[in-house]
Amino acid sequence: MRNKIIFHIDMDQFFAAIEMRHHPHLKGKPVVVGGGPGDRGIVTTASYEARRYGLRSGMSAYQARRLCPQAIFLTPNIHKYVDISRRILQRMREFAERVEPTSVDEAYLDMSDRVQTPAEIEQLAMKIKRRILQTERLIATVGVGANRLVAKIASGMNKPDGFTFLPPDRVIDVFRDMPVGDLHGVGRATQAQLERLGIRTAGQLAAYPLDILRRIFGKWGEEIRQIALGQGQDTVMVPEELPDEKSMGHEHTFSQDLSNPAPLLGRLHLLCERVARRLRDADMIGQVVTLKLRYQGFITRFHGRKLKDYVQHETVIYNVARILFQEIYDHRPVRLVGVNVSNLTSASGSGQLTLFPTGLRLMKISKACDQIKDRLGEKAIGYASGIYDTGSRSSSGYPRSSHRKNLLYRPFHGP
Amino acid sequence: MKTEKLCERIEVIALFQKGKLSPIKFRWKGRTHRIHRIHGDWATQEGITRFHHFAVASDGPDIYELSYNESTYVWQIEGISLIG
Repeated sequence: MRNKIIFHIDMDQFFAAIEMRHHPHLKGKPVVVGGGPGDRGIVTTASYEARRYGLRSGMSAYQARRLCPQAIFLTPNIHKYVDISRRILQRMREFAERVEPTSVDEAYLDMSDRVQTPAEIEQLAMKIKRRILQTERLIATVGVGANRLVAKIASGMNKPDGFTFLPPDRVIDVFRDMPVGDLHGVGRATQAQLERLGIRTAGQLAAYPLDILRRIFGKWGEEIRQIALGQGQDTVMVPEELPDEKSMGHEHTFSQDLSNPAPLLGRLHLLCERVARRLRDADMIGQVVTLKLRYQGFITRFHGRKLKDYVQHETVIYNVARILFQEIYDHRPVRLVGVNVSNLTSASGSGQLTLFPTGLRLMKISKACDQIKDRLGEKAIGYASGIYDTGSRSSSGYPRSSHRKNLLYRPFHGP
Repeated sequence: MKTEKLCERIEVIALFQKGKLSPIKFRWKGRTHRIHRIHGDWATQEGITRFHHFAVASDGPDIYELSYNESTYVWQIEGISLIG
C-alpha cells in the first residue's frame, strides 16, 4: 500500500506575528502575547526575538519579565486570532479536501492524492506558504511525512519559514538521536521513568524490549515505542468525523488572589453557565463534576463527584460545584477556579436527564437564555451572582462597549 | 507601546467594493484622519451581530482600532496604540 502524504502546517509565532503585522513598529522587538495584570498570566506566544532571552509559551509572565525586562507585553485578543485562523484554514482548503485543525495555529492536510514525488511535495508546500503570505502576510512552516507524528516532527525541525520532508526511509535516522522528551506525547513523568531505564533517545526506546515496556507502562509502553519508531496515525479528519469531546470545562485566573469566597462563587457560577451552554449546544449530558482550585503558591486541588443522574443545567452543575468547593476550601487565598463536566453522553434519546417539573422549568429558562445569547451575544444575560465578578473584560481586551446589553435576572435556586 | 481603550462613536467614510469594506477616513474629536494603511482586519460575532475590525494608521505612528457594527451601521474607535 502506498504511504500517505501528510502535511503539518504550523503558523510561526502566530499571535505575536499577527500583533506585529497590526503594529509594524513591533517588528524585530521582543514581543510577548499573554501575561496580565500583576504578571499573573502566562505567555501564550513569544516572538523569536523574545525567545532569544529564553522566553517560551506556557511560562509565567513573571518569569518572562525577569528574563527579558524590555519585552513588550500585549493582551491576547483571542477572537481576532480565531478569525484570522479561520481565514487561513479557508486558504488551506483550496489545496486539500481533508484539513484538520488541531489548534488555532496548526493543521494537518492529507495530500496523498495530490502529490507523489519529493519535488511535487516541495512545490505544493511552497505554494501553500506563498498563498498564506500573500493573503494574510503571515509566515508558515510546513512539515511533511507519511503520518501526523512524522509531519509534526518535520515542521519543528526547520522553523521559522521552513519546509522539511521526512520520507519513510529517513525517519529512523532522524529519530535515532532525538531525546525522548521531544517525542510527541512523552511528558516529564514518562521521560523520567524512561531515563531511569537508561533510555534517553528515541533510538534507544525503539530498540528496548517491548515486554519490559509493557510491564512498566502497560498499553502506553507499546504506544511510546511506536512513537519512537515514527509510527503514528495517518488519518486526517474533517470536522464531521471528529469524535465527541470527552469532557467540557472552563477555568479562570483572578487578577489578584481572592480571600473572599463571594466573588469566587460568582465566577464559579459563570463558569458553570459556560459549561452548561456548551453541553446544550453539543446535545451532551455529563455525570461527573470536578472542581479545580488553585491556591496562592500554585497549590492545585481537584475534587470531583460522580452523580446518580446526568446533568446539563448550570444550576445543577453549580450546586454540585459549590458543595465540592465547601468540602475542600480552606480559606487560603485562591488564584484560580475551574469546573469540568465529564463522563459525557448524548442527551438525545438517552433518557438520562431527570425531567421532574422543576427540572423542566430550569431547562425552559436555560433554552430561553440560550436564545437571547444566540441573538445578542454571550454576555447579554446571566446570573446576578456574576455581578460579583467585577474584573471581567470584553474579549477584545477593551471594556464592554455601549452596544452590549446587560440584562440580568434574579438568581434562581434550583433543586 | 501604550494602549488606550476608547469605545467612542466616530464618523467614517468607507469604501464597499468587491465584497470588501475598507475605511478611507474617520472623524474623531473634531479632527479628520485620513487612513494611509490598513495593517489588518478581522471580524467578530456577538449573537447575530457581526463586527468588522480594522487596525489602521493615519498621519502619525499611532495605530487605531476601528470597528463597524453590521446591524446598526455604527462605527466606533475601539482603541489607540500610542507609539513612542
